[in-house]
Amino acid sequence: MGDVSPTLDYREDRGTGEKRVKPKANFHLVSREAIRVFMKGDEDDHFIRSLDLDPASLLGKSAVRELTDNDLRVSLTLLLREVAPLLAEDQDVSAIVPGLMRANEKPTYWSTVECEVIVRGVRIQDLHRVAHPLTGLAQGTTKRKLELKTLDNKFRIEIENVSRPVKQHNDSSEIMGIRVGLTFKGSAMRGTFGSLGKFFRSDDASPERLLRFRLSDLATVHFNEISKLEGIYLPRPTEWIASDGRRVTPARVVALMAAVTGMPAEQLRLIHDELRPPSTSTRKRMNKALEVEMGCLVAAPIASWLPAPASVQVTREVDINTMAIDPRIERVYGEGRKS
Amino acid sequence: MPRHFHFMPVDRTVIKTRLRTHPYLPADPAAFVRERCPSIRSYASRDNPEGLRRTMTFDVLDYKGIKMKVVLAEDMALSDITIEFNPGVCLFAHNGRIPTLLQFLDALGILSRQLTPLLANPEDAIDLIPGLRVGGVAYWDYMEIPFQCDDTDGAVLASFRHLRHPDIRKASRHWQHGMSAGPKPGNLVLSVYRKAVEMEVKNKLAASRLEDRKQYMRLEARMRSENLVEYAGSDQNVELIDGVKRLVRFYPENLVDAHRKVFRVLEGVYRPDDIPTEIGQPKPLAALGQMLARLANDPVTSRPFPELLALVSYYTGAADDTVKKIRNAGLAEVSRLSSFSFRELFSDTGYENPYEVSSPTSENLIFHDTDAFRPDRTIRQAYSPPDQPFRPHLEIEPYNQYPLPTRNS
Repeated sequence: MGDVSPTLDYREDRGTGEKRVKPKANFHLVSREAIRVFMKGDEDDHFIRSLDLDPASLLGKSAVRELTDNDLRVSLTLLLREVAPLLAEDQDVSAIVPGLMRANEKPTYWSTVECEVIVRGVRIQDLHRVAHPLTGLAQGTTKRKLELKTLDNKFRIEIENVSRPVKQHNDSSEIMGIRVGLTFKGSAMRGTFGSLGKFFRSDDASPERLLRFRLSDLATVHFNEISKLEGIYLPRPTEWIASDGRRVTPARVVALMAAVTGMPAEQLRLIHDELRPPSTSTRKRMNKALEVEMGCLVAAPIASWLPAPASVQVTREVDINTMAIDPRIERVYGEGRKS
Repeated sequence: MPRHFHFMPVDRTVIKTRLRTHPYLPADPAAFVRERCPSIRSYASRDNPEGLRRTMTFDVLDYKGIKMKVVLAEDMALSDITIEFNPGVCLFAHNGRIPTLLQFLDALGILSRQLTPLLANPEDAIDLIPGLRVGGVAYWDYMEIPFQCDDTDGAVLASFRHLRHPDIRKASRHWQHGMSAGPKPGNLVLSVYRKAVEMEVKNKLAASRLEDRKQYMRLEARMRSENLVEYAGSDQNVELIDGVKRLVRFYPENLVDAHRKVFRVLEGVYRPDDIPTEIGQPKPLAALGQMLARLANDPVTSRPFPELLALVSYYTGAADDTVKKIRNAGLAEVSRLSSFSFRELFSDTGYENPYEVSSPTSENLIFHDTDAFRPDRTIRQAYSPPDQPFRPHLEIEPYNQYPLPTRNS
């Protein structure tokens, strides 16, 4: 457990006008970011208000691997085991994990879910006019990261260049590619999960809350959303990279600009011809060269391109198969249970 | 005749100083704050992992504007103090308005009054604000200098998207309603955005007030440390503190000059004062640069010139020298196509009559003691330019500017 450094909020009590001290604190269990506990309260009582769970960190994230439904069950079992001793009342233990509480109680729910895949061999510089129906065009793009999010920030896709270590048997190597992360919360969950998650609503006026899901269904949700990505994937032509001659020619630049902006090549030609009117022979050479260069640029719609995510068998740091799953977790998240 | 500006174009600032905090504070901060500092909104404490120092952070005022971080060390009398201070937020609960000089002096008085109770000796408050005494230890370490103008046709934002600043290497970032250039955090950052839109997203402006003000553009220069000294400093307002030149005070014209200095050197934004009447046929690489510029200027493209140039560099693997020739020609062309010159945009009138985004809903939440209206003499002496002409419509507050509180303070 790390440092617990509380913040004291001094809030005016509306009834008495007095300033009351309201402490709040964040701290980590097991390891940093594996389980993060946010506590809040007043001078007499403290409450756990939220729990952040990172199954990959909790289970020993040292390499790229796909998490399985059993990994989620093990993670939730560990969550239960680590947080339960912090509670004042034993009867509140079922409130730690979403879905364990009885139906007539106000349930704990999943408020935010983040998931990601690694796609090999691609850089974000190769992606253009990236958009999603929910967010519109990507904004605030940097050399390393591209982000699409709704105005209320409840739905967010992040694509960033990464290199991750991979262990396969006794060898280590690196995957270079992009991380495609999807985050959704609150009201965005119902739209993305659809029928794949179990939702709960305490009354008609309340929003629907996600009670449980399977990791395998989460992978489906992730794939469904990134399949809706618009834009093009345009890798650097090998002919251009290997080129010994002039790298920058009018034909090459016109072809490139037509591919990445969507402006017709002919319109770009007109702009260039206005600046440097070509002779007849120059125009003929340019036409031929343009045809060649446009042939080198092979663009594909992003949605149809989606190579398989990186998935490698790795040496496990924690012997998960022999860890007993808490029966309460098994009952709610077990294999025989449908979402 | 010297120029005088009556608005102090300042947004978020950071002051650094060294002071002795009250000896009772570390023992029981919760009780100390409750008894002596009712305006403190929250307090946080964190021990340095080595256990040698403790950092205490105080958020002051219900609607923000002042935050003080104190790094305590057991065996040292003086604590390192960092104060984040936003005069506009202190006065209005938002920063959509550019404060007048007098309002800025009021805000400094509020800062002093709010933080003095945390000090061991009230007389040490002279070192809460830089420049109040010669040889003081306080200095301005960070400053955001804003300028707001009308951009109804979108030409200002469109032109600034092509900018290149000689001291900024990092590629600009672009959003629908703005852009920024410079690393974050960094010693020099430029931020250009629709202020009312930003305030509405952050719930500082009612949606009903957005339509009339949507076109107001904020052009902000954010400077830190040596850059702040370089752009805003002069012989009169820079002192050596611990062997390093630091900015210790400023007048409105210092900030206007600093803002202009930062924005003047931009390439690719302003129409030049003298445009060549005849443009001969460009060389091949220059022609490509001009073509990219015209493409970037086309509203259908939605990609600024620097991005198009970066694509050419990435996909072709062009040599630096080649990219430079294309860039220079392209920047000259986007400048030629701009609809405004530097002088037209950053005129004296523009600084003296800023476009402001007010928010009565937020502003009506603010109450300060009437003492705050009488600027401290020492503060006034340090920050009022000598011979500043009197402007009644700016310097006599309207009767209902600061309504009296309706409950016990």
